[in-house]
Amino acid sequence: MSMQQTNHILPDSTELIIRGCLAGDRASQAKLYHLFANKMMAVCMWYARNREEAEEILQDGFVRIFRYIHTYSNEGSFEGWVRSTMVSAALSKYRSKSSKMWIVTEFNNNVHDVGEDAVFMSKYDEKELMKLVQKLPPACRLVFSLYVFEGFKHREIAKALQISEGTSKSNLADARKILQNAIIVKKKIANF
Amino acid sequence: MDKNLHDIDEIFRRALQQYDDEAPVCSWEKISAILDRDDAHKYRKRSIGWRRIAIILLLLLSGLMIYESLKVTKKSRLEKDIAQELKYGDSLIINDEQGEDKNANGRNIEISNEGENSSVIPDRPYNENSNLAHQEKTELSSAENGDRSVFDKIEKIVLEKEEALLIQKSGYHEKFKRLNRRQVLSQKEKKDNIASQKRKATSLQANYFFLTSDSSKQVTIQKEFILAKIDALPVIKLTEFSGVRPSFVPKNIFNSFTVKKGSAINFKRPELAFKPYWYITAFASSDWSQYNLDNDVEDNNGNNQDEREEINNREKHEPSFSAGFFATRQFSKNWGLKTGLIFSSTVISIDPQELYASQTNNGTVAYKYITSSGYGYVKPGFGLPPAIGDSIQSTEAQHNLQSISLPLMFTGKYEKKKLAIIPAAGVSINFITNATVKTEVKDALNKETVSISGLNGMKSFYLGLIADVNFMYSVNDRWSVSILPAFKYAVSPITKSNVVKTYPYSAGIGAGLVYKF
Repeated sequence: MSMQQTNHILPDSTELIIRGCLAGDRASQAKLYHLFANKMMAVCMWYARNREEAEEILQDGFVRIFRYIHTYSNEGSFEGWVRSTMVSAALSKYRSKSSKMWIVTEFNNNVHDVGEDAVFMSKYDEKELMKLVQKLPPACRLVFSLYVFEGFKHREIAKALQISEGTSKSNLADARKILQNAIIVKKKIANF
Repeated sequence: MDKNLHDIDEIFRRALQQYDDEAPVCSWEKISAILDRDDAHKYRKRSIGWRRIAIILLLLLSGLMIYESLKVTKKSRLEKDIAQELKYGDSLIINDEQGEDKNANGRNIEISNEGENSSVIPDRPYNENSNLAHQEKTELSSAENGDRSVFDKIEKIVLEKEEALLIQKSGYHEKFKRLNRRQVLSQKEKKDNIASQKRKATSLQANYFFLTSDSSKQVTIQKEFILAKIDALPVIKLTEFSGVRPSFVPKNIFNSFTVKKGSAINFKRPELAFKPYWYITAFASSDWSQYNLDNDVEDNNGNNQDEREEINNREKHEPSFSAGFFATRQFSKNWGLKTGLIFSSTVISIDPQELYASQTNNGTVAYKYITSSGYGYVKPGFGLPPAIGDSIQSTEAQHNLQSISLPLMFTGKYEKKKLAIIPAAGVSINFITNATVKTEVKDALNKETVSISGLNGMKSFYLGLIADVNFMYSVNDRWSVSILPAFKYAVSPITKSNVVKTYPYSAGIGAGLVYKF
């Protein structure tokens, strides 16, 4: 990676940090970690089942970042690269788990108008929304996160998770419906 | 429905953008530990790689040395054999056709030089006037291990000269009757089987067959040529012979085969050939070490941190030493290749300094001790744990730096009588094997001795240039004493991500012993 090229995109300090990381300097690695840790922790939380799992993903992700920082080719923002590496770490974690996670869960198929729910949900803070996502079955959570947060197409999700496009679509639909149901329950409780 | 779903997507997307979380404090320590393991693994892999290369080189070198020394031993043994051969020398065997019965009927005459002037006189001499026919001058054999090319050359020379001489001297050539090859071989086989077992690698054997005109008597003159390598020169020596001429052997023929004791005939004296050889120099040297410093790490504005002067001022080199051995292969009279193993130990004294607390690589806070070779962290056992920016005083420190070098140098050699001057220059791979700092840290009330080993910001190996001049004085053929001034200079820094780039260099003078083989 040419440092001359990164001058156009990265602030000087980030460039110095990257240079240090490329040289394997631990102090620079620490700086990079502290620069992105909180943002990436938030990303990991959406992909994880709980905080502990998010921490594991965060650690794996940063180790990956330091190992493969030489592959950063100055295409796109550095933060974007860091984030995509973190998502890769999350995917790897789930790929290594049992295939049981791909069992499609049964849920209530009743169609429900969520337009009203959207207004209701906007009252929720992000933390509660995140908890709803975390409660999704792993397969649904991953597909939903990749589709909604990363903007992946079903073809890309299928490739990333080594599933069929049909399964991806099905998991996304499942995730949405589970979230709807959760919102209905919350709404009922709130109204009650 | 779709719209509603997209609304949900949008709400969650917005939530993600707004959501921020705090990474756990201990997370970096865990990551750092994993990276440390990675580094250690990489270092191990790299050092294993270098170790393998070093072992292979040492094995190759040892193999070459063993091969060479065996070759030398073999040559020595050969020369010894030649000396033994010379004792019993060649023989003039005059034989008749009756073969096995030769001793019984007394027709076998053997004259040898076993012992001074020893001779065996034929107990039934041939008629001197009998027509000896030069049947065939034939076999010139060499043993298996002889140098074929030399033997071929000798064969050619010997046969040409000897045959010409023989025929010329004898004057009987016009009366010679040729035996065919089979006949000749069958005649000589009997003797050769025994003789060839006796003859060693460097002997040449020529059999001259003579047959009387009526074919009733045959005379075999077996002549031994010894190929001796004296002073590295292949010399063809007609082995010594002294004896009484049998009456039946024409004088001119006898003379043509007889060489006076102690004399040697060199048919051809080839060019002086150089024999490659090894010599090993074991040495110990007193060194004067120094380094060149260059600024390394840049600050946030991209400027070099100017630590060079400070480090230069507080560090002073003490006398150092190195020891090791060189193995030199002398390929030609003037040129050779030298390698070896050098252990160097450098001592640097460091003036007292103020240490400032900073965050270590694993996220904790400790006092940072910076040297020209790298930096380490000090956490004294007394007082409160340091916070970033705290400082503590250190006393004078001693910094030891030890390395092992593998040099590869070309050598030139200028020799006059017993003195040889051998300048050498080349490159070296240097492995830093140990780096420690011993000092004391103190505050107003407490004092504690600390030892920092395994400095951060230091490379495990670096490249260097090396040059020396070996003044060698030969004590005898094998042993020499040597004075060895040397200069070493690092071309790559020993530091990495330290505040300075450090290029050590040293000049020293050593003494050693040299063994040639």
